[in-house]
Amino acid sequence: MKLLSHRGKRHLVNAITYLILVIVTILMMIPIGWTLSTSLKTEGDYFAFPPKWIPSKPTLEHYAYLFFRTDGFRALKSTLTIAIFNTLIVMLLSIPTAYAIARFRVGGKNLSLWILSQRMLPPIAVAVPIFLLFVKARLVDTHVGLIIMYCLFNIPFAVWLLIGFFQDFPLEIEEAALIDGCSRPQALMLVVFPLLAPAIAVVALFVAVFAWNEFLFAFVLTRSKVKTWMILISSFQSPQNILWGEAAAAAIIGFLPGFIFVLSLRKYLVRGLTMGGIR
Amino acid sequence: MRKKRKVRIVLTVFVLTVLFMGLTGQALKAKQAKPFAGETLNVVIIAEVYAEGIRKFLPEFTAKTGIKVNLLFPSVFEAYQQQMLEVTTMGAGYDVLLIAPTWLASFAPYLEELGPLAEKHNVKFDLDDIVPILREFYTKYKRVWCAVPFDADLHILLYRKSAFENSEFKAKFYSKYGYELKTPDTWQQYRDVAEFFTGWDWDDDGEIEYGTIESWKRNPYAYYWWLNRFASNGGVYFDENLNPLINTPNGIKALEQMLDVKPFTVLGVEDFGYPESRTAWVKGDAAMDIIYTDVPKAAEDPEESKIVGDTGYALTPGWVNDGKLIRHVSMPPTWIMAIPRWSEHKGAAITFLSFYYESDKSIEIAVDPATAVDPCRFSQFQSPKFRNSWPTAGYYLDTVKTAIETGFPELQVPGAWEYIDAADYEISQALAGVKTPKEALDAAAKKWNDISEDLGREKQRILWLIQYDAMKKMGIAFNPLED
Amino acid sequence: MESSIKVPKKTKKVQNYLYVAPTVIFIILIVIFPLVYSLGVSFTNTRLGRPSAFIGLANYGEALFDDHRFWSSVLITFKIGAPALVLEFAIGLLLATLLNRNIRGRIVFLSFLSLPVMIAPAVAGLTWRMLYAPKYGAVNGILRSLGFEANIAWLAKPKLVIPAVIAVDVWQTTPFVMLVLLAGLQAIPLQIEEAARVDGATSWQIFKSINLPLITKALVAVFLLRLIDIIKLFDMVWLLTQGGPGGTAETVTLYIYINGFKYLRIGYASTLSYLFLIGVVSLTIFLLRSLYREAA
Repeated sequence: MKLLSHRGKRHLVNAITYLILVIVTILMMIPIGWTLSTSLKTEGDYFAFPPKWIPSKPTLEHYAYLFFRTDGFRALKSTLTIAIFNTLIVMLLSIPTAYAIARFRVGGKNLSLWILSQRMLPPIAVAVPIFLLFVKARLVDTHVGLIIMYCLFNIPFAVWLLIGFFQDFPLEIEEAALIDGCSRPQALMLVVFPLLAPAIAVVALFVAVFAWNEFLFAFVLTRSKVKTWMILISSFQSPQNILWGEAAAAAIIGFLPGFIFVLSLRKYLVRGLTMGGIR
Repeated sequence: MRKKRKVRIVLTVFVLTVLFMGLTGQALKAKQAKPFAGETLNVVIIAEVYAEGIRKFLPEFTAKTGIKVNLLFPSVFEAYQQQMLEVTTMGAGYDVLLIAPTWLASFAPYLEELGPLAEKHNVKFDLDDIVPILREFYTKYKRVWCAVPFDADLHILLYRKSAFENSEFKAKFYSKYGYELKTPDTWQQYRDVAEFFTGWDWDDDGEIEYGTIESWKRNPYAYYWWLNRFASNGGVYFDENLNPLINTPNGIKALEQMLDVKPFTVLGVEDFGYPESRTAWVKGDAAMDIIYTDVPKAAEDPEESKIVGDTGYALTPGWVNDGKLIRHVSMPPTWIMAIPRWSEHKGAAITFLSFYYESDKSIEIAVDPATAVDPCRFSQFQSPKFRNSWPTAGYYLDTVKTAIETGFPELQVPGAWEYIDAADYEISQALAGVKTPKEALDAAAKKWNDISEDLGREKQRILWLIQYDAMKKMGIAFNPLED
Repeated sequence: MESSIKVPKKTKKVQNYLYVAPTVIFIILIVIFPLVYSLGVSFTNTRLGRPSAFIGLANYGEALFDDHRFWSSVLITFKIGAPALVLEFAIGLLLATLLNRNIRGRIVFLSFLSLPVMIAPAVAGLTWRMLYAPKYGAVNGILRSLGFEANIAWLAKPKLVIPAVIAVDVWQTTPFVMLVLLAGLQAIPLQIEEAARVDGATSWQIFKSINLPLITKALVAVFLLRLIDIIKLFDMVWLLTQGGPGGTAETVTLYIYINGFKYLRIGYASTLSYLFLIGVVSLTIFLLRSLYREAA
């Protein structure tokens, strides 16, 4: 390695980086590309031999089916509502909790472990009692019901991860701000958050994605008034066959919100050269 | 002057009264014609394909009765538990249920008896139109009528006509096996034919073909394909003392027959469900397919199918017992509609059921390949419209009708699913090569006994005897095979 | 490290608890009834829709000593979880370090690489069923175009179904690990790295002595989280395999699901869930202890 100049070494490492990234990205995209292709195929192409990547007669009929033949609009609205409100509530509750546990050692190791253990519950185990509870509380078939339910799974997730991030964060930087005269909440907002923005963005992203993609309780806790996107996707499966085109179209639309979320948070997910660090 | 005024008043009152009575009379008449106008029904329909069948006539239904309908889609996997949760908590969230006959024993206590309900609301159902086996076992529980058939599935044998009628193949087959190539009557012949057609491209499409397609995916296909053989071997679920009969020589032989034909099946059958089997058939991958009755419709659809016009229909193979050829075919899943006891719209619900039960509508729905609904009623089998919907439709309908008449009813005791899944698990293990047939079926039988104990053996026995008696009346009884 | 700001101890304690109280109360309110109910029901032979009876520890006995299928499922869960975890972390960490470098267009890579995790696990299961089809699936199709004679029935052979499941899980959750680790790496203030570089350290030395230690807690946190999630894996495996040929992909959660939702045998399903919970909690505590001992 000493033979290459510093700049040369940098170029080589960059080249290898790009190579690996490109290969991995292509591999990761294969199933998604296939789903996109299926969503545009006519029936005859779903199982063409050899497998076709480009539809022979591209069509938008499956997308049209989602919205004009069955209640895609309603499902979209419901699921968005649930995901957005769930994310807001989870983040509002989790950030202070995680901060307090990380910084002030509230509850010691036991509290954080207890919170994590909520996530160890297999959802199937609690499905029936939760249903009974929600029937009594009249929360079945409501948006609020699902929002609350997802909090139960998402809060432990968010708190647990955020504790890790907060604990890794070097105290000196926070101390510096406090010495400079900030109160703790001010320190949180002006110093910690900007540097931890990627962390918080990632956590929020996954909280939203989970609420959007949840499968089991979407069925257990809804009847006729609430229909989520996952319910819509599964309606394309019957014992006899699967409406592959419609299911694929619904899957593509299903991950668009997450994709848009990632794109809009891109400023926070990766810091530029100008961000980060307080002099 | 006063007299004129009095007369005018009386006249006005008279006219107003007549008008009033006329109007209320009209309103009353309208109410009688549309007694449930303004109500909304929550109907469980599970899958979009079934919903297409309902949507065909929904505008007409709402116009005629004033009832609005919400179609609900608990997933195929969740439908059982979803609907059970609702009825066991006395919920009114569903007005019409869509259930499988396997679940009937679990749901029966919570379903409204349809006889009294139909009478109360003056709706008619021509129940004699339903094939007897379906009518006795799938619409009644403990002889009480509580459900209406929506979609009747059962297995038939599909075969490629061009391959079976090819004289060159016929000659080759005869010289190898010593008998005429035809659709197999017995499972042994089935194996021979499958072997004959495996490994070469006999339909000139550039791909290697196989003998036959089966569906042995876990949960719960493997069990039903085994049941075809077990039932035609003379098997029956339990004896009079609730001892399982699945690990008798009848059962073991059935499993061995499956392993026998495994080398001649399309690649991957251990993971095939209906969707995979259907795809393999319409793309021309095999000479035979044992599959449910909806696939022929798809095979005639030029959009998907590469073998339009080449599908023949036959009964599934049977077994020669005491000199007679016995065939029995399993009928999963089959869907029936019922009304839960706590629905708040029972009158509207039964109106809905009777509307869609009407002959012309049920025929229309069954003819359309997009609805995945299969025929099960005499009026459907005899319908000229259906019989003319594609060139071989008449022959198809006759085959299905005969097949249903040899149908083998599902186990209809409480806990049916537990028994079936336990058997399916073990059978699947044998098919995957993890256990021998005897080990697998013995393990399954042991589990069956455990389940019976857990549910109350004597109670189960009594309920089983009710079903067994009804089966015996239809000519189905245990016929032990010699080892 | 204690804060050097002086605040009266009592107010500080109360203040601190206020940060945490709403969350804790919220969780307890939702979770207490289901937990107690499940525990209670696990001592009965309840089946939905049937009369139930108290049977003490009989369910636990059955699960531990008489249920071969339960122990199979535990083994299968491990066979799927261990390799998947190793792969996710190896690849995830690699990708995170690569994306931590300030190369052009990394946001493009980031956006596309994060897609698999946006897809619902259930949908992933369904999609990959299509991909794994022996004749018509894209996986074999691609292998064939690379020259292999790929007539592999991925989901139909007991020996292949577990690697097939692992592949799908790795595909779906590596982006998650990558994003979390990247966020951790990004939180490291630049000056620390700059200072080390000025002092003459190589990139590898910086990675080993600065980056890695400063994401340790995050790494442990996400590792434990993934461990729990992969043991709990359900939607994807169910839609992909329904238990697999001969039940060779039947994980613990699948078996619990079958007992609870297919058999409606919620008494026994609760028993299995509690055994499952005890197992996971013990495993987590054990791992936490040993991991923290190492880090200290």
